Amino acid sequence: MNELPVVSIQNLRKSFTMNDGSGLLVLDDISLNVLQGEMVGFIGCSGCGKTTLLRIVGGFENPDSGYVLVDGKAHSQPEKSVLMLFQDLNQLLPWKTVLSNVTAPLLATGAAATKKEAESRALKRIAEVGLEKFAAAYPHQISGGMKQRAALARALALQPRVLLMDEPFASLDNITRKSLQILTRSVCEKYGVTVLFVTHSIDEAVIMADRIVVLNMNPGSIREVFDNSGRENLTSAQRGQRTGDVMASLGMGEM
Amino acid sequence: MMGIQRKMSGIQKIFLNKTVQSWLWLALILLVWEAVSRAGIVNRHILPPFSLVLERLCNELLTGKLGPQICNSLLVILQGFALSAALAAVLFLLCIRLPFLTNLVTMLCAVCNPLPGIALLPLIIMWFGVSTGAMLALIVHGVLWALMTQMLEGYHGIPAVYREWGRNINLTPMRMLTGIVIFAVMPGIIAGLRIGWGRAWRALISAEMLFGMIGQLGGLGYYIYTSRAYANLTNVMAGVLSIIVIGITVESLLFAQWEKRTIRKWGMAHE
Ligand SMILES: Nc1ncnc2c1ncn2[C@@H]1O[C@H](COP(=O)(O)OP(=O)(O)O)[C@@H](O)[C@H]1O
Ligand SMILES: [Mg+2]
Repeated sequence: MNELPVVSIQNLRKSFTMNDGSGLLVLDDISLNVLQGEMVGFIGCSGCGKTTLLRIVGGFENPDSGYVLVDGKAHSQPEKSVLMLFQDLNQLLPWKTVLSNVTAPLLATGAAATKKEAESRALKRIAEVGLEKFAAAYPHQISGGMKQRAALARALALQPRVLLMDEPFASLDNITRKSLQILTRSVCEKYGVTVLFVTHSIDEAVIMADRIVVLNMNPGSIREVFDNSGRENLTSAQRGQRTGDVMASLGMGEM
Repeated sequence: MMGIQRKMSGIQKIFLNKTVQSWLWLALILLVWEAVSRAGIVNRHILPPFSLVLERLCNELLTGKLGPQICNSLLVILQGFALSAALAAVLFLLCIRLPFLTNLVTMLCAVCNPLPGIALLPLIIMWFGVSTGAMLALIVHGVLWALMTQMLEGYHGIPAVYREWGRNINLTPMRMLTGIVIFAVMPGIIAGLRIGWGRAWRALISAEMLFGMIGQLGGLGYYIYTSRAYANLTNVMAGVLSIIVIGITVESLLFAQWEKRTIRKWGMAHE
């Protein structure tokens, strides 16, 4: 395959200066190519640098060395073509209704010319994530899962090339999380969005990702990449096998 | 819960309502006041009956003896607020653009905020003379520091995720300000103006009583002061009554409504 990768991560290295002045190497030589429409899940223990990696890919943070290309062009500043879905359940602007949270960015970025156009597009995305009844609600009036759905609609409405998700469902209950995983996968597939997401849940990775990247700890580096293609049609035994493989790679084999 | 509620009669429910209770207490106090005065338990010249005070208040308002004074005080305070808001906006923008100024402004706030305006009055008179300017300075002192403190606190407390979203969709600094920052600091603006109102209103009335006449009319404080000079206690009380009414009106109508329509509706009011 000589298809140009949408996201190309090349030899990223990042360290933070600790309070005592010493350096902490967080990411060490991370390289990965992500193809158009692919969903790649990064999995690793807490503190292994997942958030840092995603923030660098998003342009929110600069690497010490290495670089990120999006569609072959250097990506070192946040851009609206590469959107971040945060873990924070309160990422919507509380003074705007769900509808206006989705509409305002369309107008502010010039993605929609008129308020009418913006609203009609926003309403479609809101319906897609199942929130049509709550378009007029304020964020504080809806549940955490609904807020994440709205944040997803807000991002998708801007038609991003790449969506970055930092444990977006980590603080939700199990049932809500499951339905959001399936929803996210299907809407991102529908629009051909390339997705990089971070999780510490093996199940989440196996359900959502086309490829699963297992990260080492201290410093974070790529330990193993699993092909998880055909994930929709796995028998539960096969799914169990894949989960087991990832667990073993994470060093949880004995558990 | 349900059982208890079902057993309560309509009248009982009304009596349990907090607002109704407050009004009832107020009515009781006024009644006792009226009775004590009318029965001659306390000399009427020292404590005129409430009905008389109320009647006098209406009379003074109708004959135009009190209205202009009230308007004068309110006008000065409104000007003071507008001036404070403009100054606060400029300082706030400067602090955002030039972060090193934030420390200076925070320090100024910390020094000036606890200082009662009245304590500055001698200085203010020396600098501004006995003038409307002095009154404005007093009001600005009461409002500005409280407002600045609250706004800067609010600004530094803006959740990082709002700004990062703004950065992510490449909002211009201007849009970031008008679309995110202003709303995010709204609780601080309201809290600051509220504190400022309390301080400025008190300071203004006090200063009017100390200065006497300023401008053509003098304000509400001056009215009370002259009434006292003529030992006209009924008028003094009418003046005090209007201070209370204005205070409550601004507090529970203006600020409470503003809060209800904004930060309470948005779930941003910290209880
Ligand atoms: N801004 C920062 N300054 C210093 N250390 C940081 C900073 N951000 C993250 N770290 C450190 O980098 C490591 C990786 O953090 P993070 O990327 O948040 O991990 P994860 O998301 O996998 O839990 C942690 O040890 C964390 O303490
Ligand atoms: Mg993290």
